[in-house]
Amino acid sequence: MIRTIVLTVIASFGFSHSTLATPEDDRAAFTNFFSNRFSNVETAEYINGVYALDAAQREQWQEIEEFPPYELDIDEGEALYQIPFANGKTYSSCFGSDTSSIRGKYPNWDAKKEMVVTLELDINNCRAANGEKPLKYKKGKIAQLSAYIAMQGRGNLIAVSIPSNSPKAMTAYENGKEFFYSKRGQLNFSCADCHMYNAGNSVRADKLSGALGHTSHFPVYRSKWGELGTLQRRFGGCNKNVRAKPFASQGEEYRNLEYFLAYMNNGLELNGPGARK
Amino acid sequence: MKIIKSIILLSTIALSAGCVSASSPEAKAVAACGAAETSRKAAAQVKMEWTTTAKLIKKANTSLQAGDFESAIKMCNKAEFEGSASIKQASIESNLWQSRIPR
Repeated sequence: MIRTIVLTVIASFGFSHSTLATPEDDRAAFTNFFSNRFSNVETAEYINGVYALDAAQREQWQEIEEFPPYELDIDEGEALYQIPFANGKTYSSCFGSDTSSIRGKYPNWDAKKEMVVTLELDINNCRAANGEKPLKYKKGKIAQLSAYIAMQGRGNLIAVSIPSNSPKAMTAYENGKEFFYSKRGQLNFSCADCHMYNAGNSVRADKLSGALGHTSHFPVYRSKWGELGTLQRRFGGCNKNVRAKPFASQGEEYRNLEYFLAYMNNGLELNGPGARK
Repeated sequence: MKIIKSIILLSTIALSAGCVSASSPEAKAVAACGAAETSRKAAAQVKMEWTTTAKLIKKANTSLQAGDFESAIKMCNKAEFEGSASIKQASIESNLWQSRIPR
């Protein structure tokens, strides 16, 4: 009997963290984890992904960034942003005239729709509101538009908020957190297994990046893809790598995951678009 | 002649009936693949489907259609196991994920 009570108390302590921890507690613990794991890496450096952890790769990457492979995509994105829709309006009718402030507003909690809204989702919302067909979410025009907007927002700080008066927003955040820490796929890996507990370690010829800063630099031009891709395209790729069936881009699962991850990056600089291996 | 025709017809009916009887290899393969698909769907329901499961079932169905029932059964049994393992994984993770949060 005493044993049962003791076990119950221990179990309740073990699982009380998530229910008691605020998003701010989570973020502090998340940042501290990386500070402790890599004591020689400044927190602000994590926006550079794996290049914050590997000096040799960083040198190569810096050379690539001198003539960034995404440069033409930014130009394309700018043109797409400014070309009027069939009704004569442009994206500015949805996002406003200050393009430098757009990227920093996403992801956010839309109280009316009661869901997490990402930049790419709102690009398509804008198109729908103006009678245009939606764009595909992983690459192509949507990534180019996202790259242009990201470029305009470079240097702003990530400032994702979770409305304290919205239990549904909190649930979305918690679901994203659960997704991040849950093992999945035939290989039985969680996002955290690779990008926290094995960050800096090698997987075959590649080093694993830290999850801190992950959302700051998307969309990215990946050499492996040979083109630009969105953050949620990468989520799907990661899931496939562990042999878990990926979810739809801009579906609830990945939007909530993006919400959680972006919140963990609060205070870091936006530096998208980026170039990655 | 009539008798021979009748025997052939009866044999054909008997053989056909044999093919779909529960103990025939084809029936066993069909049942195994049905169970695998049910298991895969249950894994998808809990959002933990593996990429390998549907591929196995697809391959097994090709074998089934080609009459290679033994291979089909093997693959579908494996797929069914994968579906069950995914569901078990979902159940375990629903309790364990919190243990990975840094404190």
